[in-house]
Amino acid sequence: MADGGIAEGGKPALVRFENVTKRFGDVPAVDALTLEIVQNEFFALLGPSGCGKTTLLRLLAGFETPTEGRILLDGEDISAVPPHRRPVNMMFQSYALFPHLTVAGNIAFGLRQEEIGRRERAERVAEMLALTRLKGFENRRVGQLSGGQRQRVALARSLIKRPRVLLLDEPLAALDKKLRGETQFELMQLQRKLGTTFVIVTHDQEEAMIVADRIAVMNEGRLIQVGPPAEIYEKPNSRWVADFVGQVTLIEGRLEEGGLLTTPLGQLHVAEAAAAPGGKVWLALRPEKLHMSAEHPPPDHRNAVAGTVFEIGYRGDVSIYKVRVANHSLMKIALANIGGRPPFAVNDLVWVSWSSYAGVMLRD
Amino acid sequence: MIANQQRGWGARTVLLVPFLWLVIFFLAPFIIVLKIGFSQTAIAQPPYVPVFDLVAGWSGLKSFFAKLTIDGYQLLASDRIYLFSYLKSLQVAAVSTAVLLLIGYPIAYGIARAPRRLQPLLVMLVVLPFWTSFLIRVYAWINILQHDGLLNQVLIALHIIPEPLSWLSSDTAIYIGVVYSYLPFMVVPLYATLEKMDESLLEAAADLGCPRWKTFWLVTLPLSRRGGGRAALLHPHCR
Repeated sequence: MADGGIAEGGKPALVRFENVTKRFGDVPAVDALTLEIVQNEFFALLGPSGCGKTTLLRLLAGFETPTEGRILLDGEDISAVPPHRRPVNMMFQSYALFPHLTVAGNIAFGLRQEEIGRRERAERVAEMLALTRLKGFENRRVGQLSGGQRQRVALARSLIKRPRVLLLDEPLAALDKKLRGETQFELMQLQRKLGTTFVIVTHDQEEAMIVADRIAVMNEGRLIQVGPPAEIYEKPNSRWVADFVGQVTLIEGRLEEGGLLTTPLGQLHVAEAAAAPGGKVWLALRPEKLHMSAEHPPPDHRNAVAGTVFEIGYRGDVSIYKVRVANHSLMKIALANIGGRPPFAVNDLVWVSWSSYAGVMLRD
Repeated sequence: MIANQQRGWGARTVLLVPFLWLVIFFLAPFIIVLKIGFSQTAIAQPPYVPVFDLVAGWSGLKSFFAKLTIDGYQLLASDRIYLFSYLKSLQVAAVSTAVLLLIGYPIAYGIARAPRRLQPLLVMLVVLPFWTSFLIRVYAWINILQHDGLLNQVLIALHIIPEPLSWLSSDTAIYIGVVYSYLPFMVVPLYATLEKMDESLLEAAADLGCPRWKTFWLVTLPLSRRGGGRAALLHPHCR
């Protein structure tokens, strides 16, 4: 079902899940999953809660062992290696900082488990403090820190051993929205600077698209689609992905010869190469690719339907309009609020229009 | 914040009740005992002098203070037996606290790591003996420890000792009694601390390269120190 689980050409896989299944009781949390993650990649596991993404991360950390299949790191089977012997470190969602240790004590914890001299240890702790902007906090107890500072301590602690893969379990979930936005960019800079492979688990599709080079969308223990953010967003492989990642209007129809789609809204024009004729398909339209106007749109907008504004979600930068069209279904349209106030009001009669290249045809 | 600064009238009243309780039943007797410490015994009612005479006024107060003596404290210093018994008490307290920790910690740890639905039952089993009279339970130990008691019978039957040992009136009997009596006071606070401990801390330690036995020393034990300290304070042999 999933495409792209195997990394394409060039770079060899750093991590390889090979037909991995993890069952808790009878319930498979991860179901016969094969996935490759390459060196230096910022990889996101995205899905609704309970989709198995955290289990997949914990399998890689070593807190769970696969029921079936194997996990390879650098080509070596690590399925049976206990967590304390894996060159992989994790940043926990709760941060899991040791309350009885100082900031420096927490950061140095991993190095103390290795035979590393006092001098080098102090140097590397100082390096981490500088990297995570925690200088001056080394002797604080973790209980005296703000949420953002704790998050940085957790990050420093998981990076100090220079892991082959850094695992991030919902690392920003506890931060407020503004701080989360800033920290997303910091994480990206950090990843580029260190060149470490990052694997992040998140249920926030926006976060996944911002930080990651590639995203694996998961549901019910399986990979649904794997690819770069733009591919996932612009070319979802199923209605489920289209709906889970971002907003979408789905129109059911039957594809005819000559790039025509027969739908309850009438005949729509679609790009001819989009799919072979015949059979049931869904046209997926992203809200920002639709236009809205009070007058009938110009003829270069090949598709136009009339409707009334049903609901408006004002977001500041854009507003999401839900427009009720011919067959009583709703279409979602996003308009940037360029002029001072929203151009349309509820119950306004409007035309929704789009080009034949605006949508994606989905078979699934 | 504001609520903290301007503590309401009701809150003060509520605080006053335990405060008064402590003044009446703890501070006042303490002062009386302190005064008796500076008194002398007398064959009369009350059995010590001087007695503070309110009617005599200022001169009465002066003569009262003039008659206070430190004889009692000189006696304490003159005979070593008082010092010895004091040190002995401390020793019993220290040793039994150590034994309590050694026995209580594994029990508390075991309960905290048991399946969640079993935990209330296990705590109950530790606390349940407290529902019978303390005195009866300690008397039961006399039966167990006496010359033909259960302990000797079992040890002889198992061929561990050839003939009965005398357990009663020994230090061992004291330790057995104290440890038995105060074990729940050690187990319950320790369990409360261990049970609250975040499992992800143990995973974090493992993730950072710490094998399980070392995690116990570096994380579990230091974090249970607070509970252990509380338990040791509750363990009241010094009371």
